[in-house]
Amino acid sequence: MTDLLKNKIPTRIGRAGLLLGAMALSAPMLMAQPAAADDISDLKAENATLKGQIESLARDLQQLRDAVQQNGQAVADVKAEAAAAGPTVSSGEENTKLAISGQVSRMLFYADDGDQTRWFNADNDAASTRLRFVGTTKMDDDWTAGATVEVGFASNSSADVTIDQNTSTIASNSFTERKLELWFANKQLGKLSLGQGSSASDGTVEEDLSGTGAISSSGYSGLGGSLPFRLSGTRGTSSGVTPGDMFDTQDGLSRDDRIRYDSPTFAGTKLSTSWVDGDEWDLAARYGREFDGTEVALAAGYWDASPTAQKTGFGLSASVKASFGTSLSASYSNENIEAVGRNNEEFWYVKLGHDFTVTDIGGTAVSIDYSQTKDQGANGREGIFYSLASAQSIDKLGAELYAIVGVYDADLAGVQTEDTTMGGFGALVKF
Amino acid sequence: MLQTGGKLKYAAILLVTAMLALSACGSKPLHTSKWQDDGDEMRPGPGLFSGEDGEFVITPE
Repeated sequence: MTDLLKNKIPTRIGRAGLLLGAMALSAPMLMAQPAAADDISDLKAENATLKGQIESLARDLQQLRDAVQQNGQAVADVKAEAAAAGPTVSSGEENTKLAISGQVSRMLFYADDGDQTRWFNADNDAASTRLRFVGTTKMDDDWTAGATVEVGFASNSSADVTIDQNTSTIASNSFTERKLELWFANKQLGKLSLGQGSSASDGTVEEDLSGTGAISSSGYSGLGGSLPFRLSGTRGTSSGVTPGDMFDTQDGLSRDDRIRYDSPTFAGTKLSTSWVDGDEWDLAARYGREFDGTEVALAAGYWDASPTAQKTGFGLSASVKASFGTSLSASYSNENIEAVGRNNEEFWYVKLGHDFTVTDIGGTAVSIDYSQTKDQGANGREGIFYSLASAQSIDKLGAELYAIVGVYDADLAGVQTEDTTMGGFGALVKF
Repeated sequence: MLQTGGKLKYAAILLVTAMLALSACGSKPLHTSKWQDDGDEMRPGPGLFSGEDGEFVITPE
């Protein structure tokens, strides 16, 4: 028994110790179990909250994405609509439009009058700087009405410059009228124009298909028109006569305040007449057609300026351009001066041109012309002008580069004069 | 005998007649700017700023 007690008691004490130790060790854990459950619950709650927030943010993000996409589509729609419609301004009227256009034409112009030479920074008088507004309204299928305002602004015009000038010619540094007119047109009845503009005969001696019109007009372009011829052997004494005095192309009644009627075009033919302020009047016929690539332009005019300028005149011109680019143009005009003892004034010219394509930037044109005048300004005067010209189009810039060199030769009664050589190069830019 | 001016007046009449006679032949229209405009008119074509038509066009909305 004693042995039994001796053996069992220590064993039981040991087991109790172990049990107590285990309890001691596990007590904190057992005591901590309720706290861990709370944390998990909190974590679950936080997780749920965060999940909600994330889902909310995701919804917001999706909404933002949708809004950005909608805005992008709206901007694209507006751009496409603007591109399709073009810039618009409300006028309050349907079937109307206002077209604004113009050009700047500047050149470096050279003149040698036989005594002195000089370079000028000038406006090209053959195709001067200008601005144009054309308003048009279509009243119905047949009737159209409109108004045109076109003004020039030729600073230091190549037609006005003189060797002795100190500054730009002040008189030319302002707007000058070209067209200020109203018009009504009917497909069957023709067109009626009222105001400042081209008379019927204006341009009838200027048919020209050469393609060098930006610098070389039909015989005389006004370039150097105010440079006086110098008397030979006098060290520059002026003759008092300029190219402008004796190289008039006699282009009908030009532009003036008039009422003008143009017939409808019938098989390429158009007839015109105008009555000009001062009781002048004129008639003109024009023709333009293309035959298998060959272009034909013809014109003829008669004008009566007796009440104002005491003269009547007529002129005709023709230009033919073959399909391979070579053109031939010619004109003749004659004015009967009513003053006693005055001879008729005459002008004629011929021009050979060719246009071709050497680069893809635009067409190239060259021409050579010769013109002659007789008795212009006074009996006994004869003038000769000849020139070589070229023009290069730059289609992407709406521009033409041009160059010219020409000679005026005057034969004046009783005196010997020096030839005047002129030339230059420049650019015409349509804007 | 006709003077030079008289001959040329008849030449002008002949030219007009020739225009009408030519009209009867087969042909195509020529752009009006090539035969109806004054020599120093602005030619149609593109513009540096206005693009292909060479003019800014304002139209109603």
